[in-house]
Amino acid sequence: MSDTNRNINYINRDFNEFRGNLINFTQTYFPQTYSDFSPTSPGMLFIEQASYVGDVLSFYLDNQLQEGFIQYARQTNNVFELAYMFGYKPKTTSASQVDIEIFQQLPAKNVGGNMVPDYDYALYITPNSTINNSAQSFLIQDSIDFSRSSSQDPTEVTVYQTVGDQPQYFLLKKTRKAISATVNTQKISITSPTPFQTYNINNSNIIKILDIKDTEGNTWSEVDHLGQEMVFNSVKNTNINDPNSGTDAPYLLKIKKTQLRFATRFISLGTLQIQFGAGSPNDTTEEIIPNPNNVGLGLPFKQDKLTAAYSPTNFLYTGTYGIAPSNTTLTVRYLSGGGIESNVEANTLNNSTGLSPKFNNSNLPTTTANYIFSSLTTNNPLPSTGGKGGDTIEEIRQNTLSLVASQKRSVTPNDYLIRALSMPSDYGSISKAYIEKPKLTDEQISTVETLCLYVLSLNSNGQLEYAGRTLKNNLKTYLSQYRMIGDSVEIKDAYIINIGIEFEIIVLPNFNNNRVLSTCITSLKDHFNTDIWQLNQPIFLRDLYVRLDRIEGVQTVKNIKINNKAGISSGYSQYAYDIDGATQNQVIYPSLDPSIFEIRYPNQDIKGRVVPL
Amino acid sequence: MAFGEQQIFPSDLDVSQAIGINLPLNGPAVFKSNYQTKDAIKNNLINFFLTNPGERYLNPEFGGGLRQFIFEQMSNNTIQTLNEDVSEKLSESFPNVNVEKLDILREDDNNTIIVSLTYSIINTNIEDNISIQF
Repeated sequence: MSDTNRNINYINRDFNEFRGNLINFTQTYFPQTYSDFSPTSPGMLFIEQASYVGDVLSFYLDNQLQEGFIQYARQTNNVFELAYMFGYKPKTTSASQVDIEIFQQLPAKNVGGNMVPDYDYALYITPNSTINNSAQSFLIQDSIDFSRSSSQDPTEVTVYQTVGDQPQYFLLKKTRKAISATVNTQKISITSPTPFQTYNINNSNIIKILDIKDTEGNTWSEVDHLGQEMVFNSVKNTNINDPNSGTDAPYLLKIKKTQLRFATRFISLGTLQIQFGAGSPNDTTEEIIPNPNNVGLGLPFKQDKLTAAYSPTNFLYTGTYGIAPSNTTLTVRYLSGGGIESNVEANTLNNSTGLSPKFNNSNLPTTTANYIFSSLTTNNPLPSTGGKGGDTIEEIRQNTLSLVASQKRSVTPNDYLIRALSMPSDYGSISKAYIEKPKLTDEQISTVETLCLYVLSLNSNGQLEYAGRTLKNNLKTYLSQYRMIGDSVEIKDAYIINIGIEFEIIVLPNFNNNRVLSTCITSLKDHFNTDIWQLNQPIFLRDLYVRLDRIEGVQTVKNIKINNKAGISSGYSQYAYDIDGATQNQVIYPSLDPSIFEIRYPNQDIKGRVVPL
Repeated sequence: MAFGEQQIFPSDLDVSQAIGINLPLNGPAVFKSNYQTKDAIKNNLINFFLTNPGERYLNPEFGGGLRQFIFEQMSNNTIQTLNEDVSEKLSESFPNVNVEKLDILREDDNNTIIVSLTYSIINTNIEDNISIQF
């Protein structure tokens, strides 16, 4: 019988299946050669050995297949590799976070007979300053500038010391987020350029690379992958950089093309690998703007240009992927820290010696300047939280899968909404956002897929404000990197409808009227808190009745009246709104154009009255 | 079987049909086949005694397990226990084999155990013996 005609079963999976099929195979094709299939026979020893090998090979096959899927992979290095493949960077440690209060005193100065803070003595603290306690070091990544105050970065000013009835010193307070991290430095000397050279940083609990600078002072940018040319760049919002800018965003968001770039990946829990590109410093091909002559420049055959898959991040096909550093010393600053032990108790971060403050103005009297320096103090009113070890395997798996779903593209309206709200506060902060397609009448036909993004910001008092031009420009730049080519996003102001509330309640006997009334007002303040109120959210009057009715001491809610407050001269929105016309079935609907209800001055616009039964 | 009927193995009648393989594996083509059930059972018994428990994949209790006793202190009690243990295992692995006589002898000076087994195959006239030295 020819070998090719033998019936071989290829779907065996485990020992017993292999064993059974080998017995069948022997009985079918070698009936005269062997017939003792009892477990005790020496021949079965060999059949079982072959079955064992098949079982092991099947296991490895299953294992290989399993380790190729992020959903099922179990080995740490495989899960790491798969996570990187999908664009997720696993964390080997998680730093704890805490709000740090930073205080400084300011001398008072007489302006027009009034004693006001002398902001010439306002301190500036550079980014990446550290605050320590006995065991942990906390890093404040943002700069602290006491000379400016905004809705994103308010300064609390109180009188600290008086002489007679006049203030002598004011106390300024700012709050910053800090993470438990230490800045470490490692120098890498490089002579000749090597394509795709990698360097390892070995340290336990590496959080991230802070920056890399070369001998010439050039800053190298971290990119997700070396093929990525575009990076965000922060430019301080000054009159020189943008003469028409407002003051609603401390930084302007720009996009720049860079050849000085690197990518990082953890190759083990204690080793972070930095990889550079393959281009030469003299190679200027990546600087050029795409045009028909250079797109696909590196492709060997003209015909290939028709079918090549181009990306805006690598359209030349020169394969340089950034410059390979040479004849320089790279100074790598990276953050390490975190872990469960980094969660410190409240009121323990008081050592401000690592802050290195300086004045924005020079030529200040030494004695007062030294006093102001010494007045700089810090505190954490709450314990730090969030410090733990790195991602567990399951966390990496779930985070990767959720990242795949987002794909760093804004596809649905909600993608745009989340992306807009996620813009870092340095570029101005969007407080409220709402996105929708433009409303079309039946006769209109839209030829462009336009989305209207309605936004609002906050002023320094925490009240809703229309976003400034700089903030909108930053938002436009930010969204452009995630926008689908067919989408056109129009950034507009949402409407603010200011309202006031008047209500009447009947208080139960034996309850203090003022106390019950105060509780009701506080409850309504909480309900209309701007932080939890959304654009286009209607007001359900019935909810207000129920809310007040539940307050202890309230017998009956007699009446609730919502009034519109409008007029710039009174400090309200310029837009008036017909509350009665917008009320249907005890629900006050917002306008057709996206708007938000706001009680701008809760202390004066919520009025209650106790009425007799 | 009131009159002592004897069972025969049909494959024994076909002289060209191999049943098992002989031990040791030193035939011209590695394997040397046997053609009688009696020989097959004898080789299976040898295989049993030469196998230590745990050696067979997914059959960890198979085997005589005598090799581990070579360097043990062998008292009469130990030999008695060993004898009972081997007899029990034989009855489990070879239900058609009747142990007529099992001797486990020790030679302390040579660190040697000698197993001498006389057996018969149930319902047949087949009777044989093996002697294995460890």
